[in-house]
Amino acid sequence: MKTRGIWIVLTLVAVAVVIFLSLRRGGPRVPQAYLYDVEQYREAETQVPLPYKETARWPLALREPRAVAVKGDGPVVVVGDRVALVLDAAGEELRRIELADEPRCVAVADVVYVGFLDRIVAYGLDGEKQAEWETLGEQAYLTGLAILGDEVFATDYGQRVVWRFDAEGKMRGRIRSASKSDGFVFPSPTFDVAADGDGLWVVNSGRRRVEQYSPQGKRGTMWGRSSMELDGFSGCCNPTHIAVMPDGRFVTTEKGLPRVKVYAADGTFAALVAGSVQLGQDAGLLDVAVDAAGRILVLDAADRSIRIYEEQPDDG
Amino acid sequence: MIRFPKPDFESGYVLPETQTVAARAAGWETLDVVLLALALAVGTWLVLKHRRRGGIVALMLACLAYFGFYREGCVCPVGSIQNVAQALGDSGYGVPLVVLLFFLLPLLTALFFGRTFCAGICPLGAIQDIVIVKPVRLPAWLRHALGVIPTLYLGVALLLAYAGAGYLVCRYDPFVGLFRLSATLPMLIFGGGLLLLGTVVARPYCRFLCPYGVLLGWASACSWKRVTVTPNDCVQCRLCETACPFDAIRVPSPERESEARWSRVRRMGLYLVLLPALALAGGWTGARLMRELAAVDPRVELVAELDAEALGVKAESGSRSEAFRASGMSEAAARAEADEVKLRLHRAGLGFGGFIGLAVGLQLAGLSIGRRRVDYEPDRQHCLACGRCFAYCPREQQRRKQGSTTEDTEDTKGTRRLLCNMKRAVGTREGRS
Amino acid sequence: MTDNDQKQTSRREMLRLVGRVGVLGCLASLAGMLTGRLRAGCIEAGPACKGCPDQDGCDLVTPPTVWQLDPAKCTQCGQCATDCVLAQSAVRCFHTHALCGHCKLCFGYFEPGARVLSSAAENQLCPTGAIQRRFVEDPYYTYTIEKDLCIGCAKCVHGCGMFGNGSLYLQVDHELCKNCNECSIARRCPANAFERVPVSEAYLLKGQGEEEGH
Ligand code: SF4
Ligand code: SF4
Ligand code: SF4
Ligand code: SF4
Repeated sequence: MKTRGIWIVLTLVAVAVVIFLSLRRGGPRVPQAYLYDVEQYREAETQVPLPYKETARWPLALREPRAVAVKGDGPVVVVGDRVALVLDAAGEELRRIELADEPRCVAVADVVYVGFLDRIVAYGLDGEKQAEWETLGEQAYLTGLAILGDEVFATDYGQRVVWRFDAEGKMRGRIRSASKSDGFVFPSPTFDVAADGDGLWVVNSGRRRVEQYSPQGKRGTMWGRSSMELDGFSGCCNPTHIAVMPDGRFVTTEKGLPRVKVYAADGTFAALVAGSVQLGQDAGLLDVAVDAAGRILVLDAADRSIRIYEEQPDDG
Repeated sequence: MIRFPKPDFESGYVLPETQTVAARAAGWETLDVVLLALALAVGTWLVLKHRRRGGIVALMLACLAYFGFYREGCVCPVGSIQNVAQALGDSGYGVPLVVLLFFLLPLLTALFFGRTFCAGICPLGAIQDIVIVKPVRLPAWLRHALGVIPTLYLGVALLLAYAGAGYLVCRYDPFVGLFRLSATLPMLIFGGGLLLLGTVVARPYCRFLCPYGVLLGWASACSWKRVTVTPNDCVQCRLCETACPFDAIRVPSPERESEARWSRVRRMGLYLVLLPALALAGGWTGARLMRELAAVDPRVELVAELDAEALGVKAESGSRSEAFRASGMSEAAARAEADEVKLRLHRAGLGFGGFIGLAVGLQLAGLSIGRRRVDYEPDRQHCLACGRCFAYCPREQQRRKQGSTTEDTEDTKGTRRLLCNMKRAVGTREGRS
Repeated sequence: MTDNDQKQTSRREMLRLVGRVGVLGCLASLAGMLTGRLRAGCIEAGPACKGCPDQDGCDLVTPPTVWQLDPAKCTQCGQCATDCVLAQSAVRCFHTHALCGHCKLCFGYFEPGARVLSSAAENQLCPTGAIQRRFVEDPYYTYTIEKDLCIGCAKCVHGCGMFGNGSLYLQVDHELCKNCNECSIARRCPANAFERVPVSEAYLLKGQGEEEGH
């Protein structure tokens, strides 16, 4: 009778110890079906050649860099926090312009145009404030700027229009979708614009395509395909940013699966510049600019740096 | 500022609000405390005055239903010790008043009236109590050996909570899963096993694990009133000797002392000399143990993962290191934090182990002091006040027949004796000086 | 009783009295320390007071708390589905419609590679089919969570956060949560996303405060 009790106690203590040890580490396993899996698409990025190499990285002394622009072969301008940094072609800081508010986007020619939430302010390259343009209203939410000739175009995510200004900041008009069923859709604030000799290239990210517009607002050609594959744009709202190369090709950036890609002038996929391996899986929005030499400047906000990519002659 | 402007809906579509269901209101928590206090009062009355097992069982079932199956366990006094410990160690954490009261009320009751809480209110105790079928008597050495576990458990749990490494007692609460009718398999085995064992070894969790029981035991050891087998005088009939399923009834010590006084004193002297060695050994073990146990802390776990990765072991998805990198915290900071935790636990383990060593030594030494007991009476510390022994006592039977009004009850008698004794104690001291 | 016995008993009673006063003192100072500290904590607005409605006039009392997770910290590891003490996790998906892009191609709803945007089961991301997709007007759709089906696996949260606006997120649902003294998910959560919040502010929902995302 007595000994039986003892044995029971001892066994139970042993069981308790075993349970304790087994519970100490590792909870239940999470079944594969619960995990969001895009590994195969990341994998695909490693299967293609990377003709562009990262040749330099310029660290930025900014907490939250927002946008980058470059003037031909001239200075590079980065905005973020409450400053605009003017850098030379090697990434050295030339000037620091204090801003009154949080900048959202930037374009540069002989003048630096800084876009805030609801208005644009023009600065000289010497840092002098030249003009503060009128506010675009409470709904405004500027996300992109482009310079075409002597006109400035601004994309307004809040009101889903592209504003057209002359160099003095007088509004000349606006570009909006012709029809709602085929017009601009922006689930998130990803609405960029670039310009070249053929007019404006506006990102209609909700439809995952790039649309050409004349300055007057007439829609021309469109390109871009919705797909998780490398040649298409994935997600609900991609590409997020666009820039035009001197030879007429396009550089686009994407979020979700962070990618920087080059498309030919006719919109066919040309090359992957960088993917999640190079940029990291948690890269945020990547603004992009291209200088006169064809160097691609990618603003990596998460890394607080500008990555420079240059095409390398094929050594294989 | 609106981050995402509403789409340009034309159909007049209105965005739905996020639906939420309210939490159990704060008022309910107040009710819980009131009920706890009420149950303690009723329980005390039942144990000390009414002296009927039936009433205690009724209270126990009611409390099991409310605090156990309805309230589903949390927060319970047993777990609340950790909230208190965490609040002492972490200035960012404040104990809600409700939790503090859950911690204090049963202890205060035990300090004045014995472990009423264990008798009829604690749902963990209750669920074990109702499965007792054929309790066996455990040999004293085994009881004493196993009896050390709760103190150790208490110490380890308090230290971990103090260092912010989590609540061990809640994690290994064997019965809360039963109350919720939802538990993981290991816990189900653990809880079910304890209940199964509980059919023959009465209340195994209470006696050999429960950390709160240790505190209650200490409080009860110096309680004002106490549970007694007999309502008045013990007639030495030995009928109650085997009544207690928890082996808490102490029998009178033999008339003649079995060991010569001198040998006892020598033994005691030896233990006292050994005290520092015991304390040191305890401290060393405690420090080692807590260093090992630090591994359960999330901050330490993270660093262990980082180290493993540095050695090329790839962490699985959902690992701490992945989340850590996403958070942007620096590795140095993470390491510093982990080291801090380890150091804290190391130090605390040293102190606590030393204390345990000391306590064990003193206990051993204390065993050498001859104590004379003349009556059959429940051990103050270990009596769970369940009231089973009452009916065994012929004096109690007498009382019940006579009705409860006439006799010299234990409490009036006790008070009288206490007053008398105090007078005497004061008197002798005065007489000496 | 012999005289010796009596002496022994009285000595023990004295000891007991001393012990009692000692324990009482310990408990009292403990309570005083904790409540007193709470008062100081409130003045310094410690994390425990976060969101407390009467932070100014507060004395002594720390309000009862409940568990919530910080969606900004969550890394969608999936353990919310597996580590709750309940068979069906008390953590479920919440949707702040004001943040939603109402996408036709919702990455919280469709499998990443879905070819056709139909609600056929093989296109759906959610392992339990807990998300309802309804047409609002071209090109917008709305998504609602069927709470009883959601197991809190965070798969949709991951998709929505990665590609979309992050309007889907996990949260502890007090309809189910037992408010464990120590939330068993909190202990395992790799992102340390869980925290205690005062019961008066029982839900940390997205889009309530000033939050910045991308
Ligand atoms: S010993 Fe612990 S578990 Fe048992 S009844 Fe007392 S408080 Fe409850
Ligand atoms: S356990 Fe933590 S990280 Fe994982 S899904 Fe839940 S809240 Fe997110
Ligand atoms: S995917 Fe997971 S979290 Fe999202 S609704 Fe379905 S069950 Fe819930
Ligand atoms: S507190 Fe308990 S019931 Fe609530 S989510 Fe955490 S583990 Fe689940």
